[in-house]
Amino acid sequence: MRHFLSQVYTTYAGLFGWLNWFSYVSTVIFRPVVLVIIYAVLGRFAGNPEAVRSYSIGIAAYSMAVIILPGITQCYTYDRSGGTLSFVFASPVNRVENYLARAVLHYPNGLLSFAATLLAAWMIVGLDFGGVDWGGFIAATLVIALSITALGEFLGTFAIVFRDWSNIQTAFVGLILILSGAIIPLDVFPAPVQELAKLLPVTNGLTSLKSTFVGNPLADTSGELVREALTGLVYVIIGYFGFRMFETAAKRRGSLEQETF
Amino acid sequence: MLASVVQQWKQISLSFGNLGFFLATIPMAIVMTWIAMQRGDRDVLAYLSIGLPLMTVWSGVAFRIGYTLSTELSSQVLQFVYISRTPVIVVSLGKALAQVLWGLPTGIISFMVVFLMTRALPNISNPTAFIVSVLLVVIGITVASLFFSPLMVLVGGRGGFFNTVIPFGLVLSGFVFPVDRLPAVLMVPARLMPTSWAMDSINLSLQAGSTWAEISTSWALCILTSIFLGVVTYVMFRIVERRIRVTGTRDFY
Repeated sequence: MRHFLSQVYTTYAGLFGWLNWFSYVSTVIFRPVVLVIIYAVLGRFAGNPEAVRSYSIGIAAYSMAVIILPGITQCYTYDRSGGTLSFVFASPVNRVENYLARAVLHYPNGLLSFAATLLAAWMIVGLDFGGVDWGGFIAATLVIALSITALGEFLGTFAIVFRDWSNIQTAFVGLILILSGAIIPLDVFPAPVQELAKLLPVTNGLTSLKSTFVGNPLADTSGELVREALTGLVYVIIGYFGFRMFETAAKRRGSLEQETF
Repeated sequence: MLASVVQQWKQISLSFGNLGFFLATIPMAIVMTWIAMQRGDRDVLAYLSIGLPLMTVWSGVAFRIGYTLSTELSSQVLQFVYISRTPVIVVSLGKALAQVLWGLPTGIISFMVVFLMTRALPNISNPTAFIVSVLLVVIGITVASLFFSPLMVLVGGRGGFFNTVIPFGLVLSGFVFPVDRLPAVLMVPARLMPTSWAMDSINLSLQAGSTWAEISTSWALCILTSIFLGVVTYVMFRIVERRIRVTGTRDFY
């Protein structure tokens, strides 16, 4: 456990590029506020000032992806570019432990960003929390943040394998914004696209999140939440195999400092 | 300056990774268009079909230009620029122009995405004014982005510096909505952005019944704010230079 906690701290403190006061506060707290302002004023401009209230929950869920995914992928890419990943691979450290430790402290960042977005929506557009089923709402939030974190672990492997990893991350963040139902309802898309969207984190859990926000019991959407958790589980497992495969390939080809594939 | 345009152009052309910074806002453009389509106001859709592509260009350009000076500094090549007789702001302006030229096609991609969604082209009432206004937006984007180049060095901006700057810039720039829709506390800083005036002139050139007097007033204010921002940027460049050449305190923020 001590080793695990030590890796949780060192991978976060040493490899998270936004861990300075300006960047951290502006990214985790202010950016969600600015997003709410943008959508609130856009809604007013487009003749639909009430719309942003219905988007707030989706924007809040999306804001978790915007902070968690880059945070975790940085942790992988800086490990390689800084030359410290070689030491990890040379050491007998438990790989599962090392893999999971990288994500731990990014998880609360997502939750903080989520809370900041909802607070901003309450203050700016008067988001009504009157009917929330808090137990279900919190459970859905925690599960969505977990599945996003799992996706971050999955993308982390790309971050150490490809030089242009940021494009892959950008694509996933964009897909979550467009296809998860955060703003555009899922049912406007053709059925195959809807199925594809359900393979992304957020999509399934957001149904549960929105439902519990308006006061429905969690039991009504527990299936979606379970699917959200399973989606995350699949990502984290595939990500781990990718992480091990990269290590094997890098050692065999001596290509740790290059693009391995 | 031309040499620095070519140098920067070659440098960005070598890296496909740059593309992500420019395309990152296209998903945002898609959802914003979708929001506007819910009420289907033609004026709003016309405004967004011009503003959102420019937003895509600005967000990529601001990020890339913002890092030019600090990257040169960390790569130990800025000293050579100071040794040469060309003023560093001219070199940086050349680099900024290269970034803008590189970013403009991404605006076209964004425009096509918005067009595919709305299936409508904006109805331009005054094409001449529209073309001039777009050119002024491009100048505004260049000037506003160049502002961040010395600022990054002066504040010791590290990774994540632009995470809020870019969304905040979107609020103030007028690309997503005319800035007179903002609360007064945000409208004042927004009016210091040349793009907010240039977007006003684009809006006026889209609307039937706008007069040349209204349009030219917006142009004049865009040019004035560009000059103002340019002077502030120049002063910051001089402070950076002073820190490097005179006081030797560039590492103290």
